[in-house]
Amino acid sequence: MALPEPVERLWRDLESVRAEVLREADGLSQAQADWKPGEKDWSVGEIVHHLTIAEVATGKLTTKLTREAEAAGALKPFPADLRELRGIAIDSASRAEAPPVVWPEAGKPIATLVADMKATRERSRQSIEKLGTVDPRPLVFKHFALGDLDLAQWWQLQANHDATHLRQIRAVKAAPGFPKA
Amino acid sequence: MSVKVVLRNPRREVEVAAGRRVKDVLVELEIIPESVLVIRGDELVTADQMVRDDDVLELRPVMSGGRA
Repeated sequence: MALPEPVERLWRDLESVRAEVLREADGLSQAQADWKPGEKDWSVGEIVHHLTIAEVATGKLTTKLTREAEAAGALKPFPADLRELRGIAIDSASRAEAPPVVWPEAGKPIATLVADMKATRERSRQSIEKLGTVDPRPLVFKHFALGDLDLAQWWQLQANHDATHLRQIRAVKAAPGFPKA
Repeated sequence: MSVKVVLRNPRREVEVAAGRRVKDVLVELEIIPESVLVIRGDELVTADQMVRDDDVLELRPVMSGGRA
């Protein structure tokens, strides 16, 4: 389905950075995917897993907010005159260590991680199509550091999150000792 | 009356008492409620929602703009 232009731009942003992530991760050997520069660092495999489990949560947030608004009779169509989605201001205040109990799991087969990431993105397309039919601005869920974010902002955060971890993946691959194969 | 919570590193399930709010469960597990999103079955739940007997909760990281 055709998306409203602001949502189409958001989707392109999501897909653009995700393509870069997949380009870095696809085809890695298991040894490369499991390697980490230091004991406290994440491997490429763990980063891929982390991005996928976070994206699943954003999809569920989409379902929750739209269903609740629909049940309350508060779901409004995407405004024809809405040309720009609200932005998000990422700063150091939004940085936080995730607690270890939600860290990704080590040692998962890289082919499975990549396949899961691709499958999750296919499901996310449905969430984005839903986003394209509703006014995202009243659909708000609080972020621990950024405050109230509307549904479109949560998906922008997903793209930002991918970009952050893309840099991390590249740093891992560029670190001394990264396996050649 | 208990609830299962799925945790990682290492992957494990812990059982805690039901009949209270999600945030109370997280506090018992020494997890800052704002640092995770909580999924029950196929549904995202908020910190103020009640957990029921036989619920299975899975935790997901809240995305940040900073480093991992």
